[in-house]
Amino acid sequence: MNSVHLKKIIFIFLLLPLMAFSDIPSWKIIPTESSITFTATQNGAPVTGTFTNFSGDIYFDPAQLDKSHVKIIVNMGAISDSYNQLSDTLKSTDWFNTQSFPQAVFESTGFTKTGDKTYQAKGTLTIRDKTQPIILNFTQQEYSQTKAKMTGSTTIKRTAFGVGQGEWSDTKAVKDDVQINFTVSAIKK
Amino acid sequence: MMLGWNSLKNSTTHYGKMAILLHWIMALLLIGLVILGLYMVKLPIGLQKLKLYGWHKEYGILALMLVIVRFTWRLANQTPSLNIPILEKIAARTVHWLFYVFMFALPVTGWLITSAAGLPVSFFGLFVLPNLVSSDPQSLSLYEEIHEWLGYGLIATFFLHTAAALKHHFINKDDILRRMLP
Repeated sequence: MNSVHLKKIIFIFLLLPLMAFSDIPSWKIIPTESSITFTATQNGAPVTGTFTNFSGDIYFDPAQLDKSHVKIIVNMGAISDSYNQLSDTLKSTDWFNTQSFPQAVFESTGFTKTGDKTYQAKGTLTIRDKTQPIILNFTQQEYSQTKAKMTGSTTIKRTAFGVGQGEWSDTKAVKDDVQINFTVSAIKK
Repeated sequence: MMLGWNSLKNSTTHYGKMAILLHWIMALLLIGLVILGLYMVKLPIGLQKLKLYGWHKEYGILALMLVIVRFTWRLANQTPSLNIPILEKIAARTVHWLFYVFMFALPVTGWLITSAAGLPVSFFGLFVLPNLVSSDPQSLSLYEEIHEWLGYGLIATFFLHTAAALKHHFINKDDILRRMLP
């Protein structure tokens, strides 16, 4: 085998990861039609907030789930809720600590089809400095050659991510379970 | 006094057991809520503050439920006569009705606050109250302002009412205070 051949082979190997995604459609999130909200429980009653700024790399094709890959990055400093004191508290060191950990990241590790228009994504979620496996269940609301819309949810344990340090690790006043709902609308790049 | 239906209801001269019971339950509840309210708002944000707000909310809703019972009972019953000079009588009755205004307006404005804040109330874990208005920071501060001043109004009315009751007992030496005692 001469060196030209070897270079060609190495070149193809280097391109492989790109090629793996190349035939998978890449999607661009439409921020105005997408949302991520959380619902926690304080004193036995729900409280909801919205992450208003997130971005992501989405390679998704229902026909090629094994090659699909999604990474979503949430700007933890951009929280909106009606009660300003709440978002200020959530940004503080005991909660999200947005100064040290400005981003939360979801990265998929695999997709499975669970129904006609329903899917399950396995992946990891990183909040603060903790990474945990999570499962997202989502439903395809819209899927065409140009546009897709998925809605889904998952429930996480906030203390597993260190959200709520010190006295806040008490899960009576603020429950451990936090539900996350999302809507992602995207156009094909 | 026999504990029968007749002793539960008011007579032309005396308050019945039901009215007396409701009076004192409400008195204790309102005093507790006012003290708790004044204390909790000064606390720094923390677990303690959150817990106390939770209590203030659910006991406040309990007060709203009880005042509905009390108001209904009052309307369904005769009010014992008040044999004092006409101006004093007007003053006394005005204070009594003012209490009803506060007893209704305070929990309702509190409920408006938690609604506007998007922090709904769980009633002792039994059910979650629906939001009266959608969450909105601007109306939130307005409701907070109104709730606070209603609270001060309640405190002022409480002192007037208590001072008058004590005056009747210790200075006039009549049965005005005694007839509200169990």
